[in-house]
Amino acid sequence: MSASHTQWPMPPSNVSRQASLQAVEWLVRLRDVGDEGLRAQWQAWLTADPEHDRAWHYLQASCAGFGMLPAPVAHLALASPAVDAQRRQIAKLLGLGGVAVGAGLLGWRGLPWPTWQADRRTQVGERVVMQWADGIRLDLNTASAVNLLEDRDYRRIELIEGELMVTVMDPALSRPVRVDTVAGSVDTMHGRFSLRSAAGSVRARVFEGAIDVMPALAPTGAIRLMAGQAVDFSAQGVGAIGVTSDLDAAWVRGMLVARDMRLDDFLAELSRHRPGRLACDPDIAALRVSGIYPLHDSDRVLDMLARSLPVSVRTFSRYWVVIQPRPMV
Amino acid sequence: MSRQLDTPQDAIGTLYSDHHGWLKSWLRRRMGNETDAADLAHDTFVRILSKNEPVSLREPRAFLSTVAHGLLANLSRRRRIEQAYLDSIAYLPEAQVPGPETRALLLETLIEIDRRLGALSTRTRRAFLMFQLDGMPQQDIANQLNVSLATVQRDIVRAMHACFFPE
Repeated sequence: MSASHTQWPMPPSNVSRQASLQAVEWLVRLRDVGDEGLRAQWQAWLTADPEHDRAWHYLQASCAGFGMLPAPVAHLALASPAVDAQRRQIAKLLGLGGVAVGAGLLGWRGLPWPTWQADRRTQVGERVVMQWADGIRLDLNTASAVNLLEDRDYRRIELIEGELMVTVMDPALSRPVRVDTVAGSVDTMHGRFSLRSAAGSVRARVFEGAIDVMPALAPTGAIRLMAGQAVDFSAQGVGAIGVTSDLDAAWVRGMLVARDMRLDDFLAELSRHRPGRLACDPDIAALRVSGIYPLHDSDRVLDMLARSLPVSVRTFSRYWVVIQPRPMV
Repeated sequence: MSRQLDTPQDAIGTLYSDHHGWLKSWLRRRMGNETDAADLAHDTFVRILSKNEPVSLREPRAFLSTVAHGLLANLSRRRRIEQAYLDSIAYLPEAQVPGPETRALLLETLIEIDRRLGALSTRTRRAFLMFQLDGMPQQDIANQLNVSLATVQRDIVRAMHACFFPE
């Protein structure tokens, strides 16, 4: 690997090790301190020798180049020396083995559907709309995956993970739509409904029309859910019927609507749409949030929170954010 | 006694016919994969040929394994960094994933930085990355790594010097 392949120049050859080390030490000392006396000392050092000046300017340019690197990749790639990395690799392999064994115990189909084979999947923060034949519209929420199939009896959608909105509004529909999930299946001929899968359970919400919900292991427990109703179901059965409204479908339009929502619940919801870690200090978890927030700009949502609640947003990196109580002044 | 042949090519020819099979199985044990081992054994001989230097045949296997070991380290560095890259773009919307040229340039840069940071410890590297990539105040870095401010400053200076002023 020769240095000529890299984006940076090599350091000037006429800079001694001593001068380069001093340049680095000055940079580190000056970064966090606005001390005038220190700056004067640095200025004196800089002008004392042309070699100092060369070292300093090269270092400044290098730092600027480094700043162009995407932080998440660089953190992941550079955080450990090679030996650690090999250990990590082994741990990862062992971890993968654990998942494969554990998964056999989980699903009623033996193994969960492999998400990497999905026909359509979204990344964290991504939402897509798909138009399927016969006037069937599918909205796929963040970090979700589906397979689309057709057979003699049904147009079938497999919800592998995440959240899906299905809109079936064609009166001339030739076959019913069936959505298969980890907890069971849902049929409709006419309706607009959402399904959200998490940890073996699925929340179904109906906004228009009606759906039939059939838990995988309890076929006699099937129910019909009407517009305005919502239910959680697992493979073993269906929970109590609750209510829903169009506000619960706001994600389709890229919004998060909160009504007197706990802050920790709100942040958990927001973090589905945002890569990295979004943590909430327990002292403020029970604060209430209301409002309409844009899902595509979670940084702005955090700013809005910091203005409307007694909280401050602590950003360690773009991928690691903690919401804390605002310090007393 | 070390025996040096007149031309490196002759020496390499001998080296190849006598020890190529041994090198391949030595690499296979380390890499766990026949194809990778064969590729790297090939690369090892290409590397030796391209050096065009006299080849000592006194300890041919030690010599071969030293060259192969260097290539193996480069390869594992490259794979580790490629994996980190793939892990990190897994979160990105498709439109934001860098194109192949940017990707190649980025990987080359990361591999070179990693080589320059060499054997510096995880703590030293992290202190430097938090300082340089995230712009974190040094006291915050010290708190997070659970070490003194002086230690953090020493770590950052070491890593930054290694990174920007490689020996």
